[in-house]
Amino acid sequence: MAANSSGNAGNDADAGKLVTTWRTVQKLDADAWRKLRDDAPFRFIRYLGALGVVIGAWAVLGTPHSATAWLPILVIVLLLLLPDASSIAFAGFAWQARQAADEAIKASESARETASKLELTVNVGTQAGEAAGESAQARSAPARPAGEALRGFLE
Amino acid sequence: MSTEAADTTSTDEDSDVLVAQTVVDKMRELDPGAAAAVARTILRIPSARGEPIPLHVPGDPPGTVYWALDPGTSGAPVVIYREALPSEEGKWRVTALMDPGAYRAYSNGLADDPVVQGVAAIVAAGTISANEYTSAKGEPV
Repeated sequence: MAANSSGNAGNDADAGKLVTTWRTVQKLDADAWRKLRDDAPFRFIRYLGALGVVIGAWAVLGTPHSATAWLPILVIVLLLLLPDASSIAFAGFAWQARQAADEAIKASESARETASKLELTVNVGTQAGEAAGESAQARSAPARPAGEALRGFLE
Repeated sequence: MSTEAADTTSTDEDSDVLVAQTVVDKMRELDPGAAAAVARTILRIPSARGEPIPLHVPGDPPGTVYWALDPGTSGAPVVIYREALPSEEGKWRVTALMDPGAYRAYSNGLADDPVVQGVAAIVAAGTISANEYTSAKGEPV
């Protein structure tokens, strides 16, 4: 019974680790990951990888005689170069991946900036309006000499 | 004698500076440090000259100029004041307090923004109407 419960505890700990790992993976920000993927070193490594695959395949398979034999190589090269493709068009179907992503990021940044500016504008307008309203009230409000009115705040 | 002590010393000028009760009420809501900083700033008027602030106050005679004096203490609001109107006692009247962050943004160019002016006009009208409504009901302001 005790062994069983310690086994369950071990399983729970493993499950907890798996959940934590999965959550960490989920936390990877899509934009940060895209930036890392598109940064110069990774892009260069992908190009080198594609070139290396072609040269290696050529060395192993020799001069291509059959497209079928080279199909896996083409797929690998395509996969390596796909992240840099700005768009794919085939038989009337167009996929504007990079452009769409860039536009979405720009739109998101622009919306955030506009919202922030609007919030500041409304807040400043409200504060200025309150000061103006209080100043208008001050015309009719009772007033005392500063020394007398403020004595309590300086003690 | 320190500068601060000199600034807070009560002089004849104090009677020339009148503080509206609404300002004193607002100071009571501040934390003691900020309220003391505001009090010291008010007591520096008129020897310490503030910056002119373009405040559109409904019902003011044309050409009324408002001044802003920043206590420079974290959390302490900016003091808004003006010269006394011909019908008022004293020479200067402290009329309002303003959030320091909003004051800086306002005086750094947002004062000319039509949206800011529109919001300010609506809020000012609302503040005055609310006060008149409260007065009409006979409740303390």
